[in-house]
Amino acid sequence: MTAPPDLEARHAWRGALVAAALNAVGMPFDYFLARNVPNMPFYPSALSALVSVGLIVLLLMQRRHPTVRFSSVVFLLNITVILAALWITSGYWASTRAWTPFQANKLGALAVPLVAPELRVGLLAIAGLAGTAIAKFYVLDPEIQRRLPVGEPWFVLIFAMFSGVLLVYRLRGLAFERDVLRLQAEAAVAADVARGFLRLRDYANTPIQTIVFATEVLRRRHPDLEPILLRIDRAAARLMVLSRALKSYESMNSWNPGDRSTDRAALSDRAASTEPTRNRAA
Amino acid sequence: MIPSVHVPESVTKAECVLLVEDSDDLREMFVELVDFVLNRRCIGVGSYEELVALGDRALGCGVAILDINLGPSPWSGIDAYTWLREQGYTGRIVFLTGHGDTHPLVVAAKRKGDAEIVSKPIDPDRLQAVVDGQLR
Repeated sequence: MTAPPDLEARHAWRGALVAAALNAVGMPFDYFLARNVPNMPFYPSALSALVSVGLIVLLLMQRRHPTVRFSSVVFLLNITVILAALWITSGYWASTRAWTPFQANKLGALAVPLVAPELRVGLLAIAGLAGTAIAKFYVLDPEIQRRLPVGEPWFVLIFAMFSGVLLVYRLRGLAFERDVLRLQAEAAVAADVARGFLRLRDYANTPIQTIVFATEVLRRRHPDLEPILLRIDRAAARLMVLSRALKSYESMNSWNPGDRSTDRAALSDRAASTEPTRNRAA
Repeated sequence: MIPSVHVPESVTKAECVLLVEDSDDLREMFVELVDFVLNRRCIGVGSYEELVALGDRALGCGVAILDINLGPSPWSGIDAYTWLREQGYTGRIVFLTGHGDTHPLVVAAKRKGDAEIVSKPIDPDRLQAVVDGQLR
């Protein structure tokens, strides 16, 4: 089972990878759609996609040892180049009369909750997408501003607000799942420990029994050994107390179908590796 | 190969005790304790195969004490129980086990309604009670 801290890093890594992949695919597609926009430059989309490919390579190099921090840095770099590209291209889009304002920013804001590695980074990305859209609006030509639909660019804030809520919802869900997995992992470890203790107890019971009976036989045959035998009695009694104490682990353990044979094999293996010749487990 | 089990003629009577226990040391001590201390005859065998080889002589014992787990062999004390009953054994059967109550073998043994289950380790007084059929 994946350890929870590792799982959090893997979630972050996967989110950053998907975000970079969306950039790598989305930006060329955006340029393709804008091919008829007058004077639309090629380099913003190309650079953004190129950087995202580099980030994907970096992420793949780190795939065996991902960290939340690394994935967050990659995610922020990715969103930065996207914002830069959109800042440039939206000016050209705005010059066309058919432009629906800041669609890419709104789409990006909705995508962030699904892929953000962590809360602060996600909120920063959403704020960036919304903030740059609003800022861009105010640097556009006043004529273009007047032409845009009523309410723009403030609709992007509504998208940002919904995105923020979705981001919190998704990250809390992931955290909850990780908690459940952690508890399950802890329970599995506890059950394994309990089973180990029970096997230890089961394995010890036969030798203890042998000691108890051998002591009694010796007592009857050699009464003069009584002082020594009393000491053995006390030692055996302590071992019996230990055996009874380990009984408490039974409540933590549940045997599964097939455990009978597994248990025997385990006992047999241990007997072979620890006993000199004859004794086997209970 | 099934080892031969030496059984004196005097043990083939109802007062004898049959023990099936795979641990050689424990079996030998058990037999000696029952013989020497409890003044009963005891036949000890180490496996299901040895029990079967014993045949009718096993059926003459008044009480059979069976270790539930007979080591790495495919047979268990449950199989020994089944064999004894199938052969018409009418004496008492006591399962002796080092396992806890929830172990699958112990659970299976509990389903044998007419058998008693005793957990190792037991002291000699309790062994006397087991042999005499005075378990409480």
